[in-house]
Amino acid sequence: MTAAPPEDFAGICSLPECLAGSGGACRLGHEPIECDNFRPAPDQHPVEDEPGSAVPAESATPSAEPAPADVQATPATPAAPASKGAGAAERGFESRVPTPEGPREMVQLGEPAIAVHSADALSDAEVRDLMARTPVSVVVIAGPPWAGKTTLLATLYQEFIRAPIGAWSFAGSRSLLGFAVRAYWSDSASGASSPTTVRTNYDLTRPWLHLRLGRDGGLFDVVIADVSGEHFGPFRGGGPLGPVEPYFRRADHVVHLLDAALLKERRDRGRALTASQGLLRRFGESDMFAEGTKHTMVISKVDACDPEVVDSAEEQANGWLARWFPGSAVVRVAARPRTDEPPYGLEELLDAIMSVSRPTASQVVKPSLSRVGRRLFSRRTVLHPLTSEDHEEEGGAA
Amino acid sequence: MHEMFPDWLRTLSPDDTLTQLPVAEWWAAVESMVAEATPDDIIDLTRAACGRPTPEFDMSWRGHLREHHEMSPLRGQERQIAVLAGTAVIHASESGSHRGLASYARRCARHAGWQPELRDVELTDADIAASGTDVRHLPEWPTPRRSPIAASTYAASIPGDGVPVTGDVLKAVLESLASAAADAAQRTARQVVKAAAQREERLIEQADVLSWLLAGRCADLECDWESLSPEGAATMAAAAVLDLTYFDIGRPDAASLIGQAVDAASSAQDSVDELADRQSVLDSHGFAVDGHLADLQVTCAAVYGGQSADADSIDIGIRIHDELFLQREFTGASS
Repeated sequence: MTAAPPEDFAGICSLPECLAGSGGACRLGHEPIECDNFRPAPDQHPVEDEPGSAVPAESATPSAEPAPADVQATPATPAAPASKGAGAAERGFESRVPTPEGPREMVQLGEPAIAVHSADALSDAEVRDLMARTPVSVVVIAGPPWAGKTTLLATLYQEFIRAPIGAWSFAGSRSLLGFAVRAYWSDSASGASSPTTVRTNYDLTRPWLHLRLGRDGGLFDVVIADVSGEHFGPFRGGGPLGPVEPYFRRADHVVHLLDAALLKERRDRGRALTASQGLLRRFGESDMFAEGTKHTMVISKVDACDPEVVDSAEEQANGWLARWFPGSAVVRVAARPRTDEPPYGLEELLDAIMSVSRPTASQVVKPSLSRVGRRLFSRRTVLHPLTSEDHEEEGGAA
Repeated sequence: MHEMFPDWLRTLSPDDTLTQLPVAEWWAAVESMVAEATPDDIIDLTRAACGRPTPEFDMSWRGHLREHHEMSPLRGQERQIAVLAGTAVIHASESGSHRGLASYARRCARHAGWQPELRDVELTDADIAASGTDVRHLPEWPTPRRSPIAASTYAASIPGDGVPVTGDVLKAVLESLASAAADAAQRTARQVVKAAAQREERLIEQADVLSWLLAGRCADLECDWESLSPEGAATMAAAAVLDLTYFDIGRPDAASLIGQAVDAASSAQDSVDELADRQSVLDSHGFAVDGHLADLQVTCAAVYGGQSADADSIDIGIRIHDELFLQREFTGASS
């Protein structure tokens, strides 16, 4: 049974094909005054201040603005004054839309709100959302303050703007703004006379930078935690790792940084090496890493130091890794050389980082029956997933 | 909760704490799914775990998750859905009534080149070998039970102080003692019979396998292995080993047995007759090119299609064995 409004009770119903607004029967069978989709015409609203008022006075105000309940992200409005001339300004915002004559247009957002990414660095929750959709490798960079952790990330961004890094192509990022912010002070647009990187905040609200990289037809997602070096000071001294520890426990790949700039002066060299060794030892002797976690030692700023000294440091670093993280490699990186040379070592670093990555689900090639059969009988190896070339061939054959 | 469940979920979080994930609700969903799963559900869970669910099952699985956690997505977040399906299929292969089916579905998915979102889904070899050894372990004979006659058994029949012991009293005491002894003997006998049956089942399988192995020939075709090509021998041996398997988990030495046949085979190319024989043996084991499990039986399909082989024949044999085993478990569980 459907309910029809009284003949003298007009209004607008936002429900498609409902006749309640034109005096017909409500499609849902509701009394129009009780139906959430029905809005009475303005001249039929009782005013809140008046005795017997049933509808908020704000609804009675003719306005181009949608009712607050109908539009998400509308500022909360206090109870509006009864007078028509009070205007939108008194409700907390200024309307630039002229008030139309006649009944209001109703705005109804039936679908849930769609999140628009800010492109800033990602929070934990945003990374979780990403991980629910696609395989993502988690990389954490460890090293003392000013070792070059953030500079490394900023340079990756700047280099990808120009061209692929080795075999790795930039294929997207949810945190482009986060990268841009980190790279800003090394860009000429900043007006700075020499490139620099702003110190990373201790705060961990948005520590993650996301990269989607392409290689050999596959796409690989990685999130890299850009955490302040201050977190590692107490840890190296025997204290807890603090709020970043859960990231290390989860990490697929940990990059340990050794700042070669500190090796330049003989008097600082021993202390710098001891500090790096101490941090690595603390990590190595802890039980925080999962069995499959990979480790890479990066000697950063290698352009700032004599090659012989770097060779010696690399030899020592290899010894530390062999002891605490066997099978790990040392990579030399100059993310921001002081000469006019381009950055180097980034490709090796990406190769190491991405070695634990899997292609995104959309890129996992689905083998067809006939193709698998041919692959199975064509070589003396176990089955492998088909490659994109196989699919192209398949499509071409078809 | 499965001890590995939180570990499996780590793949969905950038940190180790998992405090933001509904771990308990998801586990309840997985457990109830496995408890009520049909054979079709197990196969569909395997497909879903590898990111290729059927639309119907996808809806159903998401709806099931939503019942246990109201924020579970009804669309999107495919990887999360696949990881949870992976945990369910692993749990199903360790408990529940379809252990063998789930184990071999995982294995066949790997043979087909499917990539599960949860890597543990494809790690089945050790589990199957351990389960296969476990179910074939000869049970110990039960220790003969001594009659546990407690004083309470006959206390009621013994007269009190000053009451003469009559024949009726003695009879009642003896009857209670005899009854308790008979009961204990009966229980022991039952246990012995049960153990004997279990041992017989295992020994029969073992004896059959030994006689097949010592015969050194293909019983189905009544010919020597030497007269078959390696692929033909692998197919026939896989089917034979399957026929000799009486449990819901395959023999841990299946690869070795198939290898014996393949090693004895000639290097000659297979003939048209051999292809017909292979098709025949696959048919007889329930394989159908367009069957319900066809996407999980890619090796059988290739062999059935007569594709010439330059692959490791033992590997082919193992895959055929696994795919036919899946067929057998599925058919048995569905009927």
